[in-house]
Amino acid sequence: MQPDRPVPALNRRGFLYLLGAGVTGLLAACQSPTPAAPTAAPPPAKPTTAATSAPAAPAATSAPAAAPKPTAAPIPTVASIAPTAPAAAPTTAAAVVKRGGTLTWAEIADPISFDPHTRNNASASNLQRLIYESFTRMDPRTMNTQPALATTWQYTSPTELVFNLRQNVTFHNGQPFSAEDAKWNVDRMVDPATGNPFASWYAAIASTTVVDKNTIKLTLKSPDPVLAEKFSAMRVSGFAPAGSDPKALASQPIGTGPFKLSEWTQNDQATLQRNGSYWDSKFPYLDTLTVKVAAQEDTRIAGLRAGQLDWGLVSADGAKRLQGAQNLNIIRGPQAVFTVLKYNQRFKPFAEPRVRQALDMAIDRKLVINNALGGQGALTGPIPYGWADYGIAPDQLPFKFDLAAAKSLLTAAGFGSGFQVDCVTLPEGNASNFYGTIATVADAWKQIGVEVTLQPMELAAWLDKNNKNDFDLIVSNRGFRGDPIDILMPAFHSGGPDNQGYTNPQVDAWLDQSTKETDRTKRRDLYLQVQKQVMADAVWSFLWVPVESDAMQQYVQGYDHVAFDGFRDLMAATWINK
Amino acid sequence: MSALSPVIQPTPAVPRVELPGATGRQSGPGRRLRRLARLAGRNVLGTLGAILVVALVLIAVLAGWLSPYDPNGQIGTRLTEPGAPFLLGLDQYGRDVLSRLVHGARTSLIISASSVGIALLVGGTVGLLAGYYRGWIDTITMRVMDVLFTLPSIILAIALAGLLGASLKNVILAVAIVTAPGLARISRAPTLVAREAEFVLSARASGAGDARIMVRHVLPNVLAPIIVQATVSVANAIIIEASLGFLGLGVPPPEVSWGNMLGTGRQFIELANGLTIFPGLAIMVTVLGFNFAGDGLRDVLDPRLRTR
Amino acid sequence: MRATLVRQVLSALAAALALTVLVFVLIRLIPGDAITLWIGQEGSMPPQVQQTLRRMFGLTDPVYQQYLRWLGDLVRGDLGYSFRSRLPVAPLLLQAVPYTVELAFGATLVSTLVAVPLGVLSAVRRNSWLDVLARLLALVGLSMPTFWIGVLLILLSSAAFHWLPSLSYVGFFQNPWQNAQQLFMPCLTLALPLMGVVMRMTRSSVLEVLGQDYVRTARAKGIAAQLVLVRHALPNAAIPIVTIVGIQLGQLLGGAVIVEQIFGVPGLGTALISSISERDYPVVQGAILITGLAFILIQFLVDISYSFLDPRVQRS
Repeated sequence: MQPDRPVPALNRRGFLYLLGAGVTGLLAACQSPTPAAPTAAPPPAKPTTAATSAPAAPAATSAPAAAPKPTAAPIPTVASIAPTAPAAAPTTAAAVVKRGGTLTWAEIADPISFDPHTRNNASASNLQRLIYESFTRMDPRTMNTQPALATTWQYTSPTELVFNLRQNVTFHNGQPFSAEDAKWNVDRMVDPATGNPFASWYAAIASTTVVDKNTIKLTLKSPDPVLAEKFSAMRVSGFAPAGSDPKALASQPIGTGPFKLSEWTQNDQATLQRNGSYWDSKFPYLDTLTVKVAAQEDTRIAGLRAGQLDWGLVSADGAKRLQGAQNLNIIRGPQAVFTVLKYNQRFKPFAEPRVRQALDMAIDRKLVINNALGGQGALTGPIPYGWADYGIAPDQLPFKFDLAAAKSLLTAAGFGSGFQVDCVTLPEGNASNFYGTIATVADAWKQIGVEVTLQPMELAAWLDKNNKNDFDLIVSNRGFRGDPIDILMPAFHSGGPDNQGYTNPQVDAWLDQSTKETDRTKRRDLYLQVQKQVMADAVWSFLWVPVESDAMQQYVQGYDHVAFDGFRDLMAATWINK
Repeated sequence: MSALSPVIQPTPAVPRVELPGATGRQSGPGRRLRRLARLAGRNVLGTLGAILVVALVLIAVLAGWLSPYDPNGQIGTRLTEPGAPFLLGLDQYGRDVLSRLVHGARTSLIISASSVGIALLVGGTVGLLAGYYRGWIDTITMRVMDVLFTLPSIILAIALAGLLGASLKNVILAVAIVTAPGLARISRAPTLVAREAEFVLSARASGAGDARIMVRHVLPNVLAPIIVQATVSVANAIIIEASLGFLGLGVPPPEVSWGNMLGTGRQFIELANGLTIFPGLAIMVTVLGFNFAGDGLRDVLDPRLRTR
Repeated sequence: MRATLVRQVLSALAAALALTVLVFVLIRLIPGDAITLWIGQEGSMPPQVQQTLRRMFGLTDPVYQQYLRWLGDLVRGDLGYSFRSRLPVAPLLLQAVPYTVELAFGATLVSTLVAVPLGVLSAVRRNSWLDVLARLLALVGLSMPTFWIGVLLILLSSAAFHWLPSLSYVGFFQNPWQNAQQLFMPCLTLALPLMGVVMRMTRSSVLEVLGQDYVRTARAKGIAAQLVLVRHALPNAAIPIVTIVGIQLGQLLGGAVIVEQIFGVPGLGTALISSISERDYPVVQGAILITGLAFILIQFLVDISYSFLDPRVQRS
């Protein structure tokens, strides 16, 4: 099987669509001191580059930079996509890249460890993507799978996947990378003793075989046509030299990535240095990355204002506070993390589809986005739009808001007198914005007779309930995976670990079929069918994806927003214009 | 920190000894009223405190009528500036700040009154018993109190909230547990001294039972400092509850908590400063009122401890 | 006398131990554990792997066994390893403790330096406008919740001096001047309510002493007021002041927890709160142990001084 083609045009336009939603929000916010309710599915902003024309190579745009080679270019240049906010576009022609310099930012939490295969938190993951690489990687902007340490891969049989590895790659310690290393890493990833939190993703792998120095074969227990994609998520799939001591790796990682960890003081600061012998010699541009820890947004905002931080993620309200800052650019874009209400069918009313549909119809999603996110959000289905071409465009989502119809549907289902339900959520003020979401929804549901009792609890307790499906109603979210199957299967297949009582034999059939389907387009169609059915059955209420704001100093160039937390990948292509 | 300290830890003063017949000339209702008026005049702060407390209680009791809107209803654009018709503005979910402040008063009062009541009963009794009997009862109970004292109240509250789930009952329990040791100490100190006094020894010599002695002779000496301390404990309880709310562990919705308002309002500094300033002011004024009242009470109840 | 001392030491240790047991049990009863967080929300780990991990951390053993194991390690000087980072707990906490100690001592120092002279002045000039103002300020100070003071101070100082809470804190021994700068605001926040308490205590204590017979005698003998104050009144007034400062010092940790949160100081309070939310049991135990021991030590000293300094309290 060939590695995936570069993105088709539909996807890029669709992505712009979402960007347009964010832009409109930005413009609206600029206009008025208090944000008005966001307009529904705004028309896409006119892109100022010809990005919509060519279906294939990004080089077809007006980029003066050297056209990136389609298969081997790991990090696309900025000019390959449209700018986000026309007024605030920080990008200039990429040809005058300046090398060197230091970029400083602050993560929300201290990285837990740099061991690539076991427990880590978001901060650790973020930095690990700069230090380690795997077989494949995700294109930061399109979420398509791209080659990384493997240049090509193919299935020699439904249960045998062969990776052809990139040559002349060295680890940070000078050791050359070969199939032996790949084998050691994959074996460790699937070993139960490692405690890989995403072990289920790789459950299909039975064994690994080194074919030759640059070729490795994975033998599978059962067919898994998206295994290569799963490595691209870079959650626990980084490669370290074979035989490394895991304890040492935790604080002294050795990878093949564009940066290496040179210094780490816990709860204080991590410093990454440029990897001078990175296999793609064009990158990275920066010499040093300094990563501090600042849990409070106040501190990050203050740091950005004062010039102590060069870049940072801020909330919608944080972005508003920074609006006047002369030294900063703020760009916005959606994230591929979607928030849902999960209806557990152990709670009698929720076992009745009409009740779920009625409740879904009683949700004013725009109001929820406005209240919970300050307007910085977009509609979504089960797969966020912009994730390759797997998602459904916001204007084609079937949601409607109709309280009267909801009430009559509820009555028809036998619950005209309403009912009371407990909802588990994270506390008010938590960055997840769950509380605001359910508070707004509950306010509307009161009008159709449904009383929600909120049960806010701290993260560990919430996780306990979420992961055990021990709730009647919960506000939760889902992030991206290597492949959408890892969202759809656990949630919507009967008996899945993320399934709260939903069974639909047709959906089961589609999902089972997709695990055997080797044609990506056919798989995509199956995914779309599942999504439509699941929305019609109102299994969950799919509410929003956040539009996040990146704030950066004016001199930071080459950085643009991406839809998943791989944006740190862009640090390799970021440079400083001072 | 003021959450945890008694306003004043009195030096173990000589107790007001009960001399028989000492209450001669201050009798008669007219005289009493005049005495009260004189006290009020001399004790401006105390009176002010008393007025504040009464006002607070009234607000709390009449919250439903006084509050202009439903405190949990999302009635307008979020982060609206103060100004008619929303006198103190709207918060991040479009809820009326003034209404929430009024209902927050009710929450604060319920929690602090209940928890201090419980703490008074339990802690006060324990302290009395410990001080009176001494020996190993004293050692053990005081050590237990120490253990509870040691845990910063916040930590204990977090653990309790996590364990039992955040609810009104559990917050009251947590605050009560945190307040009791202080009250125990306050009731123990004068007991230690009183039990050595002449009249107690003579009462015991003449065969009076322990309970009788404790109630008739020791308790009156304990009452004054403990009532003063209770007033102050209410103030501290309000702060503790607010701290819990600030950390997100206080009373869950639909109850409104000032601390919670402050904690969540922090993110909107610069966008809507009122969200942090108003709840903070409310807490401060309330606590101040109770502290003033406590001071005034002390002056009235025990002239020896008066801060002249 | 020695028997009392020994008994008090033993009971103090018993209290510390009881505390650790209490916390040990409490934290394990709270829903969710380190493995839940390990998996997080996005993880998908088969149940057998989860159980393997739990066994690795000793979480499947009965609670009393876990406790005895911890106790045994403790006796050997080993505080265990953090569930979160797999690094040893002792150095982790030892790195955090100095910040909290600094905050507590700094707050005590600042408030004593300000409040004691103010209290003395207030007592000496009883009922003057200075006295009334000082008493009012003291009451206001101790009525303001610590977290509000912190938030207000940040607002004010960032507006006025562009001062911001630091992104990363330096230890005292690394860079004393920068450390002092960084910790000044947090210390002040912690100190303000304490100032109120100390000032009032000082005032009432000095007043009490000034009313004593021996002071009046000294004045009657013609000794200057200043001298009387300094040589006779203050030393005696100091006793209750020291007592209350000692008590407050121990309790400052509670306020320090909040102040550390607001200013992002990586002290013991922060370690405690974050380890509780992360269910990092070894760190929680270690932090509680340190806190408990410190507090009990202080209480113990105060209790002893109580029985020495106040002859009216019998020592049985």
